[in-house]
Amino acid sequence: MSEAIASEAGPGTAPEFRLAECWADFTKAIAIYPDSNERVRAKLREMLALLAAALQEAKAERSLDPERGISILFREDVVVLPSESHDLPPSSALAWLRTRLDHAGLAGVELLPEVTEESVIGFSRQLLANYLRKEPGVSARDLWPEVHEGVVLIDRRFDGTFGGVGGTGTFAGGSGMATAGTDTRHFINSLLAHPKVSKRLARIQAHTLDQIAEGETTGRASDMLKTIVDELPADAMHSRDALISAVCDVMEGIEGRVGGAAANHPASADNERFINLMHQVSRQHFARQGPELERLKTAGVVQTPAGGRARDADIDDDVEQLLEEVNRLPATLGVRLADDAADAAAEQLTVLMHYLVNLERPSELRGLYPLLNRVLESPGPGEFAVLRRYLEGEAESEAVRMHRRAAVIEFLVRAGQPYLLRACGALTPEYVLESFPKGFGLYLETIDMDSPRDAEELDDVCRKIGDERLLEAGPALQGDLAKLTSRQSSALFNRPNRDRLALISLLLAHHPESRVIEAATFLRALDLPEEENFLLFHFNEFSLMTEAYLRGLIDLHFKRCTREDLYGAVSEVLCRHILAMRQRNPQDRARLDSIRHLARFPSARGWHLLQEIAKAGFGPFGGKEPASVRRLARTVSRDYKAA
Amino acid sequence: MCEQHLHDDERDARPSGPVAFVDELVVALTNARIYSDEHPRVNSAVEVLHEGLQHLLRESDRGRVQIGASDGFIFYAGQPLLGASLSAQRLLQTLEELGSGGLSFESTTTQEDLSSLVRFVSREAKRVDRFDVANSALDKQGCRSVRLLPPYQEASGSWTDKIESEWVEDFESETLQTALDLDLDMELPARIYQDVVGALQDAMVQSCSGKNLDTAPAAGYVESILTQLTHDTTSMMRLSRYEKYDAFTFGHSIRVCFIALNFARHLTKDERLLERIGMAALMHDIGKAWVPFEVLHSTERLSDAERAEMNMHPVHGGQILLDSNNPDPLAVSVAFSHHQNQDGGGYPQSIRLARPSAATMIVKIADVYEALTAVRPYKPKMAPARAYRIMMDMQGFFEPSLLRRFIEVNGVYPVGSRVKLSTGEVGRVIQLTDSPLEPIVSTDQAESGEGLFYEDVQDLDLRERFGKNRIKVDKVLLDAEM
Ligand SMILES: [Fe+2]
Ligand SMILES: [Fe+2]
Repeated sequence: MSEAIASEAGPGTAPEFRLAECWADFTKAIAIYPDSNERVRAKLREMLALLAAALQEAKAERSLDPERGISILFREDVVVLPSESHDLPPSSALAWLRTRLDHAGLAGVELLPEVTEESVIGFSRQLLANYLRKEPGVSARDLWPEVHEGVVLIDRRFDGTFGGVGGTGTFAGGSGMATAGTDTRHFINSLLAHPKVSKRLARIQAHTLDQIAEGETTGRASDMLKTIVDELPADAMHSRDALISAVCDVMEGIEGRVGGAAANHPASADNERFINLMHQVSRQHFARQGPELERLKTAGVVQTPAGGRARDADIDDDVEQLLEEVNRLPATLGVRLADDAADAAAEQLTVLMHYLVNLERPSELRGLYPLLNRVLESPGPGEFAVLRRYLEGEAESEAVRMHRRAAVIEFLVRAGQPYLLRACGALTPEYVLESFPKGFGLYLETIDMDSPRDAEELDDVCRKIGDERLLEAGPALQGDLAKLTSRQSSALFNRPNRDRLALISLLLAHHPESRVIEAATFLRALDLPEEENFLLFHFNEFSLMTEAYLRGLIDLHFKRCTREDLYGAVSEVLCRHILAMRQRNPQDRARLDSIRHLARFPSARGWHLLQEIAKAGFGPFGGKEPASVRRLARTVSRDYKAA
Repeated sequence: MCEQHLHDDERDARPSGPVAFVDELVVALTNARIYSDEHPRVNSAVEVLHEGLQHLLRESDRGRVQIGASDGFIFYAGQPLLGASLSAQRLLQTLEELGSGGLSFESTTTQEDLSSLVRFVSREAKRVDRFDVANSALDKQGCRSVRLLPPYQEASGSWTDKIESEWVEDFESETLQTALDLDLDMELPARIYQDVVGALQDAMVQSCSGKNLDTAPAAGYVESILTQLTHDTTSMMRLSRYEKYDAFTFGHSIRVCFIALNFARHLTKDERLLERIGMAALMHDIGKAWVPFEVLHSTERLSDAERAEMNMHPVHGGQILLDSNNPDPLAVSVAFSHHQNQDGGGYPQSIRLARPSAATMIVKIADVYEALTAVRPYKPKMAPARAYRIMMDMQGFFEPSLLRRFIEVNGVYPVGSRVKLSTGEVGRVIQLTDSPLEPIVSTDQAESGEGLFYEDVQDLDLRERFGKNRIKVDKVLLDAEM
């Protein structure tokens, strides 16, 4: 069977050629005998063995593309195999087979490793059945209704498209596409539409965006593809799949080149020609930069992005032209709406905000506030950016800008989401410092004291504003401080820090009773150097503290009052303690100390209490003070007088 | 080429004939639902209606004009008027509720008679449940030249009443059915279309008359559109009709909805999201309800001030939708943004994002594509290929990669379009393939122009016609279909 048919590559004993012959013999056999016939079976086994051998022989090529099989196709009177081609002698089994393939619209097949005895039989039976069909113009789908595993049908429609096929099998520069005109364009367009090709194209275009934007028309996808196809070696064209994979190889190389990365291609002898081609194509299509691009522009070669069509020129229905233009658009690497949620929310917020700031009475628009709230439920960076633009973006006039800002702030505060103002970066420390005291109240509302970062930032802001300015701004900040919720103001007492002392003083003035314990805790943590703060350590509970004492303590620290000014307040706290403990434990140590301390902080209230204790002995109506305490009161009274 | 010129300038020479007459009747009825009886817009609509009637009477040799209504379709002279039926949902509904088979206009019909009819159908008909009661009500108003016809009865093939039945006498008893049978595939899409127009008319009435928009009915129909598109894209995409209520074109909105949905369903399988996009597309121009009548109806070139009024429709649209029951922020932002450009151009002026949402981009693409390819009295239909090329030229208006995807999905020869093949046969594209220029075409007309017999109709996969047998698409046929 190795009886030579004219061969260019040798005696024709390569497994791939023997495989082709064996396939022809098998098909002839099965046309005569039933499937189970021993002759059929023997040929089939031989054929699969030869396929395995041919695959083994093609190991090197297949290492690049493991899915690749052995293709056998017929062109005119030539059988084309992966590495060689042979003239077809008339009346050989191969010629017989070609007739049948022809009839079924096939140029040949590619046999993949996974092919089975069953699938070869199935394919051959269908091939023979198709030969018997009489009706003309039967569609390929009707001819080949089933898939035969491991048998890839190679369409005859590429007939005549590739002049290079059947050539020498070596790299034949310029032997490329013989047919020109619409068929070529059509074919290139179909290539461009292939997902593998368009994906690589998109990546290349991404790398060369600048050039494309510059009007680099030579970067046009179809031109580039045409160059590649023209220059591809003939054996890359034995099937559409092979062609696509060759084109993709070259494109990957180009991508590496234009992307600045080294081409990821080992320079083995096998793909050397691809590398050459890749260099050639990228030189031709992507190397026109700088001065040369300028020259081309002035020479009118490089035209506008719209394909050189003047804007007002007539646009016609030319579909080929359309496909070329479409292919110049960036390909979508899977546009999915699911990825769009972020953009959508930002856009919705932009639009809703537009109504918020532009309508005279936005609250009358039923859906506006609810939708704004919904969109702002879990805001992301996109929404923050929108808020920022509405708060700080430019506007036609300063008045508009301020109005816009006020409307947004008002809404967010009213919606209970003022923290968003800070989250979107609208209330930066710089802004607060600059606008103090205007933005300060809002800043306090938006700060999250549970976050150490926020707490630190607030301390920093307070330090930069300075105690003096803060205390002086007291009246101006009144309204803002009143707006703070109990939780918000209470949070400000967390993480005591000296820098926030003035602020604490202001808060205390605002919420005198409710904040006394928190303020006392705060001040105790600071452990101020003032002697008068001893009371903070004297008691275990702060419910007896007074606002006057605590504020006095702070004022003293800021030297806004004298120690003497504080006597009354200290004395008051002591008195409260002494009275409160009277029922529980009149001889409590801290209570006795309090009575002693009264002497250090003279006040009318203190004096009266001492007198009262001294006189309040046990009696028939229930005494108030034990004798020892009365005695102590008398002693302290004497010191008092002395003082 | 800017989109503004594409569909804001829909000023035309008024068409005549039965279809136009029915359309004018629908406009008059809609106007009467919005305004008081004496409102000039109602009067002018009735005036136009009267002119149309005179025209029909001149053409007819019977001295009267009868408009039939049966089975959800309008008939004239024995033929179903598919186009007119599509927008006459509310009229058909009212007639059906009254058990009437149509309207008859004597040659003596005056404008006052038509006013009475319009007033009656749009206002009072609800209080009446039978056509003969309706006729006596018309009598009482002095309107004797217009009559509601009794129902058409298939069994006897004639009217139960004395009134003659001209509209049926021209065709055999089965014609009515045959007319629909001609294209059974079209019936369901047509009914959905009718429903959507009805819902849009209601929306229009609500927003014009200051009531809050109820979007729920339309939302239900969007679901049907989506289902129908999935099962039978071809017949759905074939439905296109130019009709207008003032300058608000329902047909445009519905087609934009079809196109946007057909595109979007290739981008996501999320049905809820698709419905929201469909709804947004349907409502994108609802803001035109608030554009002053004079501006919408101006036959002159718009002055700057008028143009500014016109350009308010996106802002109005968002506002109308925001005030509707259960508003969807997606629909609001689509209505608001659909004329904005990515480079800051377009209108309205507002803060712009780097990237519009996909929903907005999809509706923008569908909006312009529809405007370009639709039939309009003032411009011929345009081939999709040319429309795409124009759209690619509108720089900064579309996201290029999304436009590309749209062209790929919609196709050089979109599903539903009629094409002439290189063999001379004519057919309809029923499916796209992986090869852009080789769709699957269902041929129904021979080279000679003869319609093919049903048995000869075949689905041709042009990819499979290669070599000597190669068949190509020669061109898209652009003639109005309905
Ligand atoms: Fe619009
Ligand atoms: Fe529109």
